[in-house]
Amino acid sequence: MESIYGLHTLPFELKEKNITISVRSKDSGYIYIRETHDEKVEKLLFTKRNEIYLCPVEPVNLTKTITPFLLIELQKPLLVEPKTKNKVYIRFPIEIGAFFKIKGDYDNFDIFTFTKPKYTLYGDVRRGVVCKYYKSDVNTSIPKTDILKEGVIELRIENDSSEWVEVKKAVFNSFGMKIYYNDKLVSMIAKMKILNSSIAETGFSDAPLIKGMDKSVEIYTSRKITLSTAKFVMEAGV
Amino acid sequence: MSIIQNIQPFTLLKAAIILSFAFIISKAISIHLRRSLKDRMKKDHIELIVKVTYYTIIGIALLSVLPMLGINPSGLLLAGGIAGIVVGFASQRIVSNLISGVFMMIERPIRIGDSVNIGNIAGVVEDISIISTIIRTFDGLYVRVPNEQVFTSSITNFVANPVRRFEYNIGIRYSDDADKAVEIIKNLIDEHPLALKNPEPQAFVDELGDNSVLVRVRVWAPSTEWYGVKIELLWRIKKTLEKNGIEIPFPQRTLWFGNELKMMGKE
Repeated sequence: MESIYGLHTLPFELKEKNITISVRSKDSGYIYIRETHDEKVEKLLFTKRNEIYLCPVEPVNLTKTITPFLLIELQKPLLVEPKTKNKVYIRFPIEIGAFFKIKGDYDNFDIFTFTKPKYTLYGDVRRGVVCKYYKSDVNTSIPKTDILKEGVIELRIENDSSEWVEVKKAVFNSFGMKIYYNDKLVSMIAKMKILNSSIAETGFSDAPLIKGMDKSVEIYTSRKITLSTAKFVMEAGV
Repeated sequence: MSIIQNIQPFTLLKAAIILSFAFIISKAISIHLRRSLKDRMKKDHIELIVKVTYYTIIGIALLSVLPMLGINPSGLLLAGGIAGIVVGFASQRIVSNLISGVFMMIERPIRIGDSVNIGNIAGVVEDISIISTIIRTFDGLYVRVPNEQVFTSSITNFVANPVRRFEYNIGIRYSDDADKAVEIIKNLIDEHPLALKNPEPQAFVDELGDNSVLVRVRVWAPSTEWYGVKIELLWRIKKTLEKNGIEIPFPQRTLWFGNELKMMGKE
């Protein structure tokens, strides 16, 4: 079966579990149809390009683009020893973007997801930030996932403080996300540097988790948004 | 010529130093104002403030060195003072608006794009100029509010905080299962993406009313989205409760009579 991710030459039809994506010729253009059991999206494409790129994108666009931040709550808290480096694997929700490729640039025209979006507040009501919310188990090896629904973050935790720290959540800035995929896994490598029991800095490494994985399009780069910072400082607790 | 000839070189030097110092100070303040107001005001408004500040400092310095040069500025001050009073009276409100505008730029209780309520005017801030603030009311009207009025009114900024809470009071019949109703409501809140996970939403029996058991529901949502979430969720709750046989009762009263009424025609 052809993987949903990657470049697809027009016209095409992809059927994967509970989704059908097709692009058919219509008059002088194409018609893009994305169909799931509860939703049907149709868009007319007037383009001279003959390729569409589908890939996982930063999971902060749906239901609405109201925040660039993703908060992952851990099902079980992690106790991290002082002055140590640890590595765990957590899951993140996947959103899939459809792009036109124009001379190395990618223009996004559709985003969809199979996971239920939810939002939360990180911090207090006055100074906090709204974040996309996801709850994940904590694994010591790469867990098996459905690549259309969930990806895996290798979270490298470095406790720089001189005390034991309990980590219950991680907040990430999607501006820095570097997503890689292959036909079995969607992944990111993230870092969390714990400064004390309530402050940590998170960021991402631009590297694949497994050699040979393809890099996804960064949606903020494709939207030509100027990024102020790619890191996030968790000042309201970890 | 005679005045200048009578001036001591030291006095001339002192006047030159004061003027130079005033020039440097006014330049420094101008640069500082430009930098600090860059993100808060429009460029033309900044330039206006910078020029007024610059020439005020230079003017004060000039007036202070005139006596050193043997020129009595009292006549000038008198004429200027009278002119100032006339202009001051004429432009009292404008100056008041201008100063209010400057203070608003510094305090920043509202920003362009914010949903606000200023006095009795509610809407979206379209523009904040040095004299007035433009509001587009929620029904699409253009309202220009002088900054003095904005500054002295109580301002409610609906989007100053990232999230806000809304509340429902939902009455159900005494014969309905209140636990089930609460569970249904909690599930509906959980299913709505924009009903925030944290701060935690609440649904609980709050009151045993005259006509119904009152379930209070409190939900937090992003400030920019709360109204849509509020109306959407309320309708979902109503429909789902009804679907599960839980009804929102009409006000009703059961009357008990001391003497049993005898129905006409039955005897």
